[in-house]
Amino acid sequence: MNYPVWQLDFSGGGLLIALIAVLHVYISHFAIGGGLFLVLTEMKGYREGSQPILDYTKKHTRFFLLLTLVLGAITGVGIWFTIALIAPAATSILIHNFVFAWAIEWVFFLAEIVAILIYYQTFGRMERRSHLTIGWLYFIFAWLSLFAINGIIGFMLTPGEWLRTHNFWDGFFNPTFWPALFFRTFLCLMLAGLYGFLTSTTIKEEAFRLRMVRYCATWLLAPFLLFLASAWWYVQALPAPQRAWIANFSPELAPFLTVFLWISPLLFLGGLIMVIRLPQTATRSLAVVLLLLGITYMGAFEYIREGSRRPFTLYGHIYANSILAKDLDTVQTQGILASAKWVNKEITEENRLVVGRQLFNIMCSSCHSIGGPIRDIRKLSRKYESVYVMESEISGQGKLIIGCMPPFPGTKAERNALATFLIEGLQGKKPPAPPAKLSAPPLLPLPFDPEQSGYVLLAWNNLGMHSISDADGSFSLMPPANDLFAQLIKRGPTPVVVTEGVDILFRVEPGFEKPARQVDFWKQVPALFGRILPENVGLSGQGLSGPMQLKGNGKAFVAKNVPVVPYPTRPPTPFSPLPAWWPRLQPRWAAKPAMAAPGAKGKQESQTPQRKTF
Amino acid sequence: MDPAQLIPSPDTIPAPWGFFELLLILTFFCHLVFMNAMLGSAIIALVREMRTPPDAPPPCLDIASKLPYTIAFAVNFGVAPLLFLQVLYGHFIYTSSILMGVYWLSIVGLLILAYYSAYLYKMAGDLPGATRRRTLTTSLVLLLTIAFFFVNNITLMQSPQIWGVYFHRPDGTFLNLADPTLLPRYLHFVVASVAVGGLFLALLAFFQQKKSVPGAPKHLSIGMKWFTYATVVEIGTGIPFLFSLPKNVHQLFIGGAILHTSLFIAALIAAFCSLYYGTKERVWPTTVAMATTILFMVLVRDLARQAYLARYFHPSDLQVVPQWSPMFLFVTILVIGVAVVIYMLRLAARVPEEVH
Repeated sequence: MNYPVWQLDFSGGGLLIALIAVLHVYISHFAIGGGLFLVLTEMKGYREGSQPILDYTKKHTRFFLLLTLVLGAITGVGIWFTIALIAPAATSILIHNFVFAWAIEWVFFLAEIVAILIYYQTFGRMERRSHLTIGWLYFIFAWLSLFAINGIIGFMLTPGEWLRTHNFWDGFFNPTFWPALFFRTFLCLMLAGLYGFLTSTTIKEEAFRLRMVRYCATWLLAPFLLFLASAWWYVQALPAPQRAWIANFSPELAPFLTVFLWISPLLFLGGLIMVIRLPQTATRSLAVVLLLLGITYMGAFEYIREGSRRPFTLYGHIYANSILAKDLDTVQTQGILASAKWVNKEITEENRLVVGRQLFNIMCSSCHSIGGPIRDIRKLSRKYESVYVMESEISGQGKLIIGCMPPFPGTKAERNALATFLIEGLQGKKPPAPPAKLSAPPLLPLPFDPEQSGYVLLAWNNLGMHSISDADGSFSLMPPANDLFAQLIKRGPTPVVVTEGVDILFRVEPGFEKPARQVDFWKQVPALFGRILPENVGLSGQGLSGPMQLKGNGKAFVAKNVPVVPYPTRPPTPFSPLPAWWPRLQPRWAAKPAMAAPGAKGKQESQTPQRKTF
Repeated sequence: MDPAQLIPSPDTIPAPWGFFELLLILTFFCHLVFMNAMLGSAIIALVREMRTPPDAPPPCLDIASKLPYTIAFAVNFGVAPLLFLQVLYGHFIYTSSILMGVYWLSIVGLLILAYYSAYLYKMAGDLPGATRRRTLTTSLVLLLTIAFFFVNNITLMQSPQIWGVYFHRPDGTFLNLADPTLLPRYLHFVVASVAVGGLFLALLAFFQQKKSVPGAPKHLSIGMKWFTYATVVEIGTGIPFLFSLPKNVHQLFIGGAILHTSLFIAALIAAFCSLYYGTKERVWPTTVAMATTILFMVLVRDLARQAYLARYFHPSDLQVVPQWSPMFLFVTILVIGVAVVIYMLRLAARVPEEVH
């Protein structure tokens, strides 16, 4: 709202941050655990008086330095660049509320760099005790960096009391601070083992290689149970809404949870296999495989953690679309364009698509790409047939689709512009032709002679065709049921309603007799009403033709709950909510009902097709 | 469109703005020193590599061994001022970064490549000259490109009047090429790097001289020559840079405002002092004078930015919601951190020089 949006399309929806963050966290956790690994391995070398161990430690230090100080450190800066580019408002909140935590982390970062450069540069030349001191200092500062950044990351997911107090310490020592710190610390130790495999498997001398690979395996395996326990603690410490995302295996997080759960035993198993004496090529290959499994593991964890923040960037404070939770009502009142900078302020016929695009950028692009791998809006909006349908979906966000997306706070016109961009701009769907006007088929002229006819038969319907969902398998409104009334009047100076001595029968217009072929209501009756109903028969046992019953007041005949639907089985139109009815008069004294040959006995005075109307 | 309408609303700050201003100036000063030493020594090394016959021994082992480390510290000391800049000017720098997002984010990749190239150059001491030149050229070209992007962003952040370009270029591919200060500013920074790079070599040679390393006096002299000539050119590039600034800005420094003009004059005096001592090849007085020049220039630069943005914003406009205890914790940790760093450097200094 406040900032321009970098229009990324393919790489939108968080792809950039996902790529750079996973790489960074994978290396930066190693930068911590690996630091302890270095100094403890060096101590082991001194303790055992083993020059090969010291040589290995020095070689591993070089690998460590090149990986963590360059790729690790610069991708860390890269995350900072990236979040400021794609979520400037949230980044600004993090910076301005936690500048002292960031600044403290920078001091630790500085001390880390000095320590590791000295450690590497003076390896084997500095007096032992001092060198170990430098190594320990490196590890302490590296771990303190984690301590500092862990407070800020945890704050984004579980700000806790900060939401009320806006107090630095409430935000920093948030509800998941401690479990996350333990979780990440154990992870750091395990990664030290995983990366250690990479260098230890290259040792040429077999016995020494096996010894060092086993040493690395200890680093991976020893903290494993503690790691899993802290993961459990972490999940339990999450407040209910965030925990629900994970505990319920929400559809989008489910694959990542599955990956996380599957890789846990695989990593453990991999660590156990490494302990076995194997050919060097096998252990080297396995080391690479385990490292790749590790990054997948880490990626899955980070995705789950990030995903459970939805629909917020800072939980409860700022939505993913950069609207502050406290401003939502204001934005809803005045509209997005009036609230945002960096947008056109008016929607006209000419700029509708342009403004729709701007609205997409502000409201959607932080989570949705266009044509890219992350939540591609082109795919997701394909199923919506028209702007109207898309608008309906947008207006349901945050209401029917609870939790996943923030509510759309725009005006009706803004919603329309966004939907127009998605459907006509992105999907290229043409605006639908205006709906055909329904008109009643022409009525047949009826044989009625006002001069000669002694009777008139009137018929009508009181309800009209409505409240039919025609999708009873998914949801149901009312069963197909319409009432038809008829009244026979004997004409004369004093007209008389005739109710005795005649039967009145009816049938529906041809084409409407088999509603069961057109809708699945009859298949759903057992589920909906707990009974079995013959096809084409309504709930009160009434079919689409037959005798009408004399109504309670004795003035009219009625056919109740006729199960007619507006879909005829024959052309010209698949949808016709105005079927005709043919009530038919039959004298009681006739031998048989003579539906097929009305008036054959000459007693029927009139026949009145009655149209149902809405 | 009125640019003032586009400027995002800033967040509150947790301490008086002057505190962050002080930190910004101090840490940016350190960043400039390391960045200049890094870039300048790389440029000098490349020139020397080019002049060296193919079969001659590597001419710049001293620079090669230090280059990755200067990059490490240039980056580390770049993080801090960028943090404090975000605190005071976040709503400007975030916006300008987004306008040139593609280039701005590419810095991360370019820096990683430049850094690894510098390590390759460090390790290429035994390799043929062509290989050494290739690795160094790669690193240098990437670093110069990064510098160019930085200059673009820093000029763009203080020019809200052209931000409306976003409505035609929302894809982050805008560069502030039409800004008349862009090239003079870039040149001014790069030439300054050569001067500081020369001085950095002279300082390295000075310490080598104390340890009686052969060839040190010659290296010292070469370093000081680089410094002196580059400083002369630097003063030459400074003049067009000054006058390329908008009139309302540059006039402040040539008599328009007492504070601005006196700081600018102080910077010039310090620069001339450094030049004087440079010609005499007196390393420490030159270093002190040069550091003073850089510090004054950082202050001048900061005032220039405030003048640029005066129509729209001043950091004193920011609302303060104090966080005293975190602030004191930071200051305490900074003091402890610096003390530990000094302790570690002293431990390292006692270690005998590595024999190549």
